[in-house]
Amino acid sequence: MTKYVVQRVLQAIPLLIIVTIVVFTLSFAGGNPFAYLAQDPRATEADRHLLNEKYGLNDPIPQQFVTWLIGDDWRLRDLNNDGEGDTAGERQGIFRGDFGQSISFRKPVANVFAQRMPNTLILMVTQYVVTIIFAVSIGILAAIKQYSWFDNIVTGVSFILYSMPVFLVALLLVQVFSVQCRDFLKMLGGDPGMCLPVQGMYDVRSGTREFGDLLRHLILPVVSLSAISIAGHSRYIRSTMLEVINSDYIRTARSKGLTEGRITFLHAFKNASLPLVTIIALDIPFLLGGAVITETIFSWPGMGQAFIQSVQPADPPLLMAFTVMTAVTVVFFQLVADIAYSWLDPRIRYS
Amino acid sequence: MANGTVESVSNVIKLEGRHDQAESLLRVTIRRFLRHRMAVAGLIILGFVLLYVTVGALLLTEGYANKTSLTEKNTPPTFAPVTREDGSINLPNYLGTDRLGRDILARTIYGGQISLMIGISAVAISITIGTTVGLISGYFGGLIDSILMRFVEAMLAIPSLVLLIVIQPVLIKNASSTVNLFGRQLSITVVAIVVIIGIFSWLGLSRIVRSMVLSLKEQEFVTAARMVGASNSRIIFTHILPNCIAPIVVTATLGVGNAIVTETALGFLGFGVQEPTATWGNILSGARQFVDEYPWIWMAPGLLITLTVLSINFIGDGLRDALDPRTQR
Repeated sequence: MTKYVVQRVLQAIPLLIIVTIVVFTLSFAGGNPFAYLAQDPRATEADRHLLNEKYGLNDPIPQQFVTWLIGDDWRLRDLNNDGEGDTAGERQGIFRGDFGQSISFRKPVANVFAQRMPNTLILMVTQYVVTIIFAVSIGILAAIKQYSWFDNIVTGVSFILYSMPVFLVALLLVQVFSVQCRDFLKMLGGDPGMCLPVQGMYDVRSGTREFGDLLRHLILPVVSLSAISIAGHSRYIRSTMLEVINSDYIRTARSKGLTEGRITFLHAFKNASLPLVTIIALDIPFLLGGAVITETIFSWPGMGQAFIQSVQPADPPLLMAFTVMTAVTVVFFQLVADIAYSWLDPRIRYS
Repeated sequence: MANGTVESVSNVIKLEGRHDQAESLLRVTIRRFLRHRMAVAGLIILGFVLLYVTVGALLLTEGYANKTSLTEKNTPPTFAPVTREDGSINLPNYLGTDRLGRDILARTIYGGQISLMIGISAVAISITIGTTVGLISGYFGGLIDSILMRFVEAMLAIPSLVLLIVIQPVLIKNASSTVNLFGRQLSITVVAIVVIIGIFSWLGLSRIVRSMVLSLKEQEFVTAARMVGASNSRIIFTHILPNCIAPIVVTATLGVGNAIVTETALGFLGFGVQEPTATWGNILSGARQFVDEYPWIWMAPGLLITLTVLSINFIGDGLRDALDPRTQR
């Protein structure tokens, strides 16, 4: 077991090196972040040079890569362009937790993330808990009542949801639970404020940050994100459950005269939950990155929205931090999933 | 040893007679596919979508789809003819108009052609790359395999939408230039989107093909082929590749649906094909700023996207069952 873990960790190292190279290369896709200043008559050529110098964009590319990884605080940088170093470097590099300065937010990337990560986690963790609860119960029910009307409806609905892009689900929900609801209440002479909000995390007009208000703002984004994941995950749980239910040891348990509830939960689900552990471990990293599309639709001030804002005009430090953070957590949790799986199921040992 | 040779040779002889067997396999597949009710329903729905984008184009011109009108911005669907500012009478906007007063019905027709074309061309690219990488990686193994597979894993670690959004400025530099395709003047960004979706969606397939090649290359018919002196490329293309066709066909089918969804997601976020060329994705971008207004802007393209992807998923499912030798029907 220890040997396997060590082996698996060692395998992750070259992978992480490739990830950093890929992310660094990608960061050049947006072009020079200050290129737009060329059209601005107020900015001189020297200003642009200084800005590029400040963000280290004039350095040779391999040096930029090294600075990004391990920083430049051991050397002098040439800010006044006289060919000699004059200012001590301040970057510490991502290995020491310094992701650099965000250009569009005008503050350290770490601060941008620190501000937005909690918002994203509120949305994504709620969404994921809802997904797992519903997916597991629907999946189990559909499996033990295979080909019943419940199973057929679930199958049909999940097929449709699974074919819908996430923004379409979101727009439909907004239309029904916000727009139509408001019109309906207005017609009845009720208070349209009872309908669900579609923008942001809190009511901006009241200026307060109440928990109840947050919950109301959470409903639509959470439902639109969960609906599609429930469709996918419940299918998966249904098929693993079916595989287990049709196996010999369940027949044995049944012939021993155990109750159906005992068989379903103690014998079947316990074994079917094994692949579920892997699925959860592999899903976790994607919760951190937020939901780019859903956050855009619902103006949710999270990581995904920051990412979209960093694309145009280009904000390479933020883009790189965002991509490398997601990629590293993916690699890490893949490792966790593999190790957890081989620990839970001793039959599996990868060579 | 001698016995083994005889067996391998008999395998080679069997392979010689493969042609009429392959034909009957195709017939078996079609027969099984047609028994799959959902798959047939998928074919019919897809047929209707195709009729919509082709017959529709015969009735309305592309010029009409791109015609803007200042007085008819964001108007809801109407069934009465519209009198324009210059006194001319126009067709009613059955599905309403977008923020520039363009007719959404006509835009979904021409946009549909482009979206479907993007889906199919992107998959053509991704299948070519994915199959090639999978074959090389699985067949030759060793250092090439390690490098390719580590690269695939690294790319898979980055969410695909993030990857596409980050890379798109490179390919959409000259967004205003146009290209002539199928007799239509299209924005160059159509080609750019095809390329970026194509070159970033082959990763999963390459792993599937690789794992199939790993088990296939150990089988006797490959040993036999090598023994009679077949070259590597002959073994790969005539002996191994035909046995990988089933997962490739299924992945390709489902890939078209995924590529269409990806295009619409990029279009919705404003990173897709540039206007005036319509796609289902960039019609939806009009709904981004005003999520709770003008629902007709996203309803028609949204319904078309869902129907298309749903039917493709049904067809893919049917093909998977039909091509799987383990299901006996």
